[in-house]
Amino acid sequence: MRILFVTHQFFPLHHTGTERVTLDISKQLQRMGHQVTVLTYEPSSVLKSENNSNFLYSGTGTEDPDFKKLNENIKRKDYLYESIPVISFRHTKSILGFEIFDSTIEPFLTEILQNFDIVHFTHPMRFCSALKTCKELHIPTVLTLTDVWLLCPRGLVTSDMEICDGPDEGKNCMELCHYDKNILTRYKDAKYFFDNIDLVFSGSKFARNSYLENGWKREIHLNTFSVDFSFVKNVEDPKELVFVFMGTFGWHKGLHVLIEAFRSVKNESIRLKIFGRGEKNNPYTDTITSLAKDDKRIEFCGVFEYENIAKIMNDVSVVVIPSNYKENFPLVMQLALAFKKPVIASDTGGHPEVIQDGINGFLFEPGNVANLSKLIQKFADNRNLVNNIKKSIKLPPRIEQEAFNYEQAYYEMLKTK
Amino acid sequence: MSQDKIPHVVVTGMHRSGTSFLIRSLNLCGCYLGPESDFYDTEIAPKFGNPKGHWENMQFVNLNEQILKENNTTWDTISSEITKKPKNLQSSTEKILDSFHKKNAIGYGFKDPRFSVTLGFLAEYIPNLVLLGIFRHPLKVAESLKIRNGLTYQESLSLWKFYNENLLKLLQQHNGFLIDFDWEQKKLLDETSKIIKKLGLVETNLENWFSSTEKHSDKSMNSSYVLSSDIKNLYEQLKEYSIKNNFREISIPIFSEDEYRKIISDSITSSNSIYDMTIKSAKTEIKKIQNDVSLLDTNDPIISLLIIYFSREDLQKSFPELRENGDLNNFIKWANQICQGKIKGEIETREKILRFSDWYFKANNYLINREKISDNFDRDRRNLREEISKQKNIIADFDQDRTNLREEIKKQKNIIADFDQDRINLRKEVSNQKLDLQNLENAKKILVKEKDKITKEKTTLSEENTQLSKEKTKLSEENTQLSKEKTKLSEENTQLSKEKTTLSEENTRLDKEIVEKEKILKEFDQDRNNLRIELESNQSELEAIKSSKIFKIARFAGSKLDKVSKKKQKALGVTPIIKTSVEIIKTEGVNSFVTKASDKIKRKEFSILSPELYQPIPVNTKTKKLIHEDLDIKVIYEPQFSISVIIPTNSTEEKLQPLLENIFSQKGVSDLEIIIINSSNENLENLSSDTVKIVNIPSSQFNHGSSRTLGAEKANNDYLTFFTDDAIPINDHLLYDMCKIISKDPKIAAATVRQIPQSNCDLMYSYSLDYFYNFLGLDDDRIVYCDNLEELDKDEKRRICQIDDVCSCFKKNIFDQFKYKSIPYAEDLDIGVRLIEKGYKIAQLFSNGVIHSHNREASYYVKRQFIESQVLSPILGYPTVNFKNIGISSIENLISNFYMLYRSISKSLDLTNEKSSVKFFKNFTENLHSQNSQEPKSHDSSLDDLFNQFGILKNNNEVKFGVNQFIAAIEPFEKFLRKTYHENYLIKNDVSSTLYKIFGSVLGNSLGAYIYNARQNNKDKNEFLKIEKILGGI
Repeated sequence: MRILFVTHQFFPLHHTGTERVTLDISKQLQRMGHQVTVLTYEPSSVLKSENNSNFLYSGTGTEDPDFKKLNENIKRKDYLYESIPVISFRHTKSILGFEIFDSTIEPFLTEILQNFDIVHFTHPMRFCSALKTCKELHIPTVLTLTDVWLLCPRGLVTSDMEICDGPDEGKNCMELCHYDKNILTRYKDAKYFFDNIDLVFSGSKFARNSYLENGWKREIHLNTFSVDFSFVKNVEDPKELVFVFMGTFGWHKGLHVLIEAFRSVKNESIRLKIFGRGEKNNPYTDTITSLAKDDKRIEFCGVFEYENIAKIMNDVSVVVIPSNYKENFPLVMQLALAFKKPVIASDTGGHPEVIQDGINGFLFEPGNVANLSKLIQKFADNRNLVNNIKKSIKLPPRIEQEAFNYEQAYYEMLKTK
Repeated sequence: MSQDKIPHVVVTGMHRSGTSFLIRSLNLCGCYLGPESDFYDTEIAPKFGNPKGHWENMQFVNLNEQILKENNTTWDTISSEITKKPKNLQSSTEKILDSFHKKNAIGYGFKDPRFSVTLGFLAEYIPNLVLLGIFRHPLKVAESLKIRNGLTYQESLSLWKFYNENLLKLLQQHNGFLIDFDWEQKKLLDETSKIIKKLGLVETNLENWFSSTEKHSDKSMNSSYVLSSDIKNLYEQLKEYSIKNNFREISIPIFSEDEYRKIISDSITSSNSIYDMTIKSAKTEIKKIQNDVSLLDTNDPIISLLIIYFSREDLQKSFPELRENGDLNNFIKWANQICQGKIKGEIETREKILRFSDWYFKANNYLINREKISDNFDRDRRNLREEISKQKNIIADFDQDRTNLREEIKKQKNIIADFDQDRINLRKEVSNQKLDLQNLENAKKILVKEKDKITKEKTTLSEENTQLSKEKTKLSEENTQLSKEKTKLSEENTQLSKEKTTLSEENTRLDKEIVEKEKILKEFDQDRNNLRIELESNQSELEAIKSSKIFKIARFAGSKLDKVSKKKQKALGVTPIIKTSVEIIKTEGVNSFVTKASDKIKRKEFSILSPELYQPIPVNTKTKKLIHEDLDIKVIYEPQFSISVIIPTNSTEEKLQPLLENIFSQKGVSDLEIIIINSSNENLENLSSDTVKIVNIPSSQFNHGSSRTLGAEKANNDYLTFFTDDAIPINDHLLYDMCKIISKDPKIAAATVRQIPQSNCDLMYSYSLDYFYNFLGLDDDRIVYCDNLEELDKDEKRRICQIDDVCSCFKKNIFDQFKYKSIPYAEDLDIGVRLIEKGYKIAQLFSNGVIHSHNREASYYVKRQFIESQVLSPILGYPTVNFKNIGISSIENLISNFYMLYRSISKSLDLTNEKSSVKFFKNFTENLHSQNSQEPKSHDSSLDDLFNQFGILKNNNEVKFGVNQFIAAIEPFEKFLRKTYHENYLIKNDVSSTLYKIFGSVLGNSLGAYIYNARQNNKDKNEFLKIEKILGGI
């Protein structure tokens, strides 16, 4: 089978969960004998707005000579990442990535898409137009919901940094986030895209329910986000009790809650390791560093390399995911369980789908320092707790299983094409 | 709030034309004129020129002076347009504006008559600029300037003209407002108030302020002076503009109540503080003047004043700054010095004395005016205070209102919160009801279906019942008929006994005939021997043909045809195909035939498995797959199968965990038992439980076949499932799916599933699996069986008998009859063959599988293929190779031959570096034949080790055998690469290591075939012990 994965951004410049899922599934399907290519977009420089919404701006920061101009609007670059061929587009001028359909990219899609049996969107941003081309060419289409972008370009967080219940057909977007009338067009286009995809999957119940609860009713199959176990090794537990945070520094990720909770536990033999980093000169980053400043038990370890995950897990007792917003399904959560590490997670988004309080980890109320502090204290008081929890951790699904489910779905679609 | 949105009012006009009146009016209405310090020079130490103050911000006055200086002119000498723009004008202007913007205000005001000349340069730096001009009758201005600055009428009028021409241009350019200072009081104040309203300032009573303004020059001017026509004209134009004042809308920001209150309060404070300072300084000045006058050292005031006047005239020449800065303070100081004899002057004419007297009179008036002003100021201040107190009352009312409103809002919020709670509850209720409704609807649907089914079945049954009673009647009739026939048959029997006698006679005759036939048979034997001899001689001829091109094409076509079984050939009517083929070859040539044939094969017009040998499993009986949990279509795997899982292992507890965890989570299992056959030294007792049995055996006793059978013997459940210890089910309904299919048909004995490569799988294993399943033609679920296995060719046999004991499932009662045999290899294929032979069916599933793969080194493939070729030859009847005929006389010979081939491959890899897979393989194959004496750099260390162990390596032999086999073996690999990977991105390291592994397979296969052949010919078994030892043990 010839499969084209379509995603809004990709390695090597971008490496969030969606890119990881796309790469891992692509490689597995390739191992299973299928021809896989990734179609993606690379903005020349990336600015994220402070609340980490899904707004992406392309600027004119870096010039990449490998990008060849196709016309006055579009450039293209072809490259190989690991074993996966990648086709990357870029606009010649900076644009705001907000609209659903992009007519400037459309003219170049037929030439690419006609070579594939299946087109699978893991994030449709900038490439929703490809759906029209697929319909013209009668190519079956698949969509995996990796977040709520189709519903909301801001990840369901209002401009006042409050959790939003949903767009209400765009009315809430105008009222709460002060968008102009164009948001209504975006809403309609996104719904059109969603309704006309042949098969929709979600990696989590949370993402699926977010769409269903907003009245976007259709069959959404569940194919749980998995872990590539080739990165997973048997690891030891450190002698000291080591809590770990992995993620970006932003209010929404709740690192400040963790640091405050950790500091409140007066125990000299526990440690907190923080992987990730914040933007320079960002007030939040400054808050984090000053919060942790005089506590020698807290260590900043920089950005973690995915390839080194086994080495990192060797020195971890408990993984903490203190997100303050409705986080979909963090890869770190699945990774921790794959390494049989207990997880303390905020009781929100996709966390409670996996973390069973008191069984494979613990849940706490998002943002509640005292609540989290008690859990840390609990581990500090009872050194056998890590081992006890560990025994009842069940392994997360494997990448082979996730890819197989997609493969079987593709076969079914091609049969009935 | 950005200060840029606040109106910035520039007040300008000719000197002495009422600009001060206008700017102060704005100031009284809340317009901010800048920091107090900027007024020190103009207001705290006011000049004679304007007793009520100039209200000029010194920063702007200085900036304007700087512009004039840059253009080598002054305010009172300028006569032509300025052209030179000083550097840093923008930053200077912005700096001044910044000092304004530090204070929140509802308006910012700047006044300077010089703006009439300089605004052309400055306008672009002043945001939201509003131009407010004022003019006055030319002769009044001239008179005023004469009094204040001693300018002649002519000088003043030319200045008037220049300033006002500029003003008019600016007004038109900026759509500004213009005030005529000569308007009567009411009109003047009305028009000013209109502008104040437009600017969004606080409307204030300006009467007091205006009434204190004195226009002395109105009375003293020389009204008989004749004005030139252009001045008259200009004056008329100004009047016309002022009458038609276009009260355009001005962009003013909207403030919140709090903001507005704060700003207004600030503005009033600021206005007052300048006011206070002015009054204070005015009083001080008056006091000083009185003191200073009293210090004059003479009793005669006239003399004193003369001295003062002349000294001033005198000093005007020597000290020009006095003219520039002629304030009274300095003047008195100087005068005092003169009186004390420090500076001497001359008395010249009476006229001068009189002029000075006139001046003295005015100075005196000034002092008196100061007092009056002070009174006016006090009155203004009182008024303002009253205004403030009124405002404060209004604000207090506002506050009260706000408090009330807040309480009201709070109440409303509570009501809303109650509503919200209600809404949430109602939503929950609705969603619960929806769920219930949906469940009910689902149940209803199921029941309706059930009902339909039952109704149908009922109909069918009643029909059947009728049918059966009919049949019963029919049968009783038949019974009668049969009794009749029985009688008839007994009669026939008698007849047959008679015939029997006849036949025994015949038999005797045939015996004789057989003896004769045997003789003929012996003759046939003789013939056969002769033919064999002929056959052998033909073989060498055949070898020669094999190397020819035509043969290769024929073999290609043949191999495709081979895939069509004999039975299928019949079914498809092979003869017409052959006829057509011959026709194509004759008319279009061999190449065209090959192209057409391969096209047909690609289009799958020939299916690999004969259609009558397998049944695709109908979709509705297939277990629902893909999604292991789905809220929309819930697949229910009811626990219904009693299963024993058998896992032979020599691994550790830890490594078994993932498989065990997965088996425990399998759905559809009613009774589970796991039997682990442990041949390792590990103690696995920790795993032991009610469900898990550990059977320990010594490692020496381990055999893939017999160990599995041992497990089966210990098993108690209906279905047996075998896993290798490193396999993991791809989903949680694998056991269910296999058992479900087997249970459908008593003839289905076993089910097997495909392997899914692990995520760390190397290119070789990935390719091998793909190749293998392509070979099997397994691209969908199917059930296979065959009642004449021996008639099939080896590939077809292989496809049908496929069982993979990485994961396989059997009905226990059938398995017990067959069992896995204790053979060194392919025990799964062996049981498959035996089951099919006995008429059983096998379910081969594509829609389910196990994660399983191994990354092996090249030497493993040598060993594996070595064993496989020996074991599979008898099972599948592989053809034999005559090694002697190709010049290989011993096993050492064969190994040396392959060692040379290994070196050729390495050298070719050294030379081949193309990124495109097509070019790479073309060049690699070509380079394989190139003679190159250099030592190869590429190598495979496991093959190096293996050849070292063989220890019989000769470098000088040519490669006699294996190149074609190797090239043939890499051909499907190349196809796989082209199919799976992008044509232009060949990853050489992966490809090289795979090529070595394929070479390993070819090597192992050839060694195995050689030994198998030798055995068949009863060669000495000991000859191969060393090789077998090296290649054994996988």
